[in-house]
Amino acid sequence: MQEWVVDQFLQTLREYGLERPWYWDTFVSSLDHYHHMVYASAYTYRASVWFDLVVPGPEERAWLRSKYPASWPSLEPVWEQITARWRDADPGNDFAVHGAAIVGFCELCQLVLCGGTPARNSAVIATHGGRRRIFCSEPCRWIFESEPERYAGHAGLVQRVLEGKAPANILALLRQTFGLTYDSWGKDAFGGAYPWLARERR
Amino acid sequence: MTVMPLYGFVQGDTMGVVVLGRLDATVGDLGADLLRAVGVRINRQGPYQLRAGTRRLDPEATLRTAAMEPLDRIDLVWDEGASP
Repeated sequence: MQEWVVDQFLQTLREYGLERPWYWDTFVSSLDHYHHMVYASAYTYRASVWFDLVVPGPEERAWLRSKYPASWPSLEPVWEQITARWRDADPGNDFAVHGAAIVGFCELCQLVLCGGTPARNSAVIATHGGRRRIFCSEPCRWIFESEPERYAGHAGLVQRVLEGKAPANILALLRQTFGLTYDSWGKDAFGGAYPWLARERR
Repeated sequence: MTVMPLYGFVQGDTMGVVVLGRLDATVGDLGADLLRAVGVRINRQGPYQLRAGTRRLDPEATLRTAAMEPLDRIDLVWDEGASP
């Protein structure tokens, strides 16, 4: 898939006589990690989205290990911990396996700070107009600084929380700011009741 | 301001979070708070250090004496030999 998409993109650049963007190597190196970082993060804040997510089971993890030998070993402990939390929780008790801390978002792309790798996050902090901002990566900082007037007026979620314009409590945030309810927010698709996840009888 | 927001990153985690640090709390307290904040994804034990940029923070220092500023980036980095 990467060969198909990346090679085709490079061919298009060549046909138009364009150079690769300066962050090309960052982009290519992120292909092995980024979607795994986002998925694990989204899973642990699934109530903030409007769809259900699943924990990869043993067979899926074996597949991921074989297909992503460079990145999966660093992600496996995260899924082991999520699995352990479900093992200790009652089925359907989603918030026993859910983040409660305020999430950090990139002030350019507005995505969760999931850049880099588990070993080293690529987030970068910069000050513009006396205000500190965080970006998920150098390319996002570069995009912001190329057109600061376009983005500077946007108040991100963290800023709104810190200014008291949005609640910090996750449940209040989901209901009041995101407009989600128990019926509409994302959950574990199986309520944590996976056939491969053995629970101790309590 | 007695409490300041900080961006926290734990080595081995998949995302950054915001933690609120008290100015009179120690760097060690902040590390414990940060680990609690990411506990749904990280359950690692063992020695670690907190860094702000290139600075290694003294765990006994308070956030005030460590000259932390609001929205600083804090990295929790495991010492080698810490159990995964």
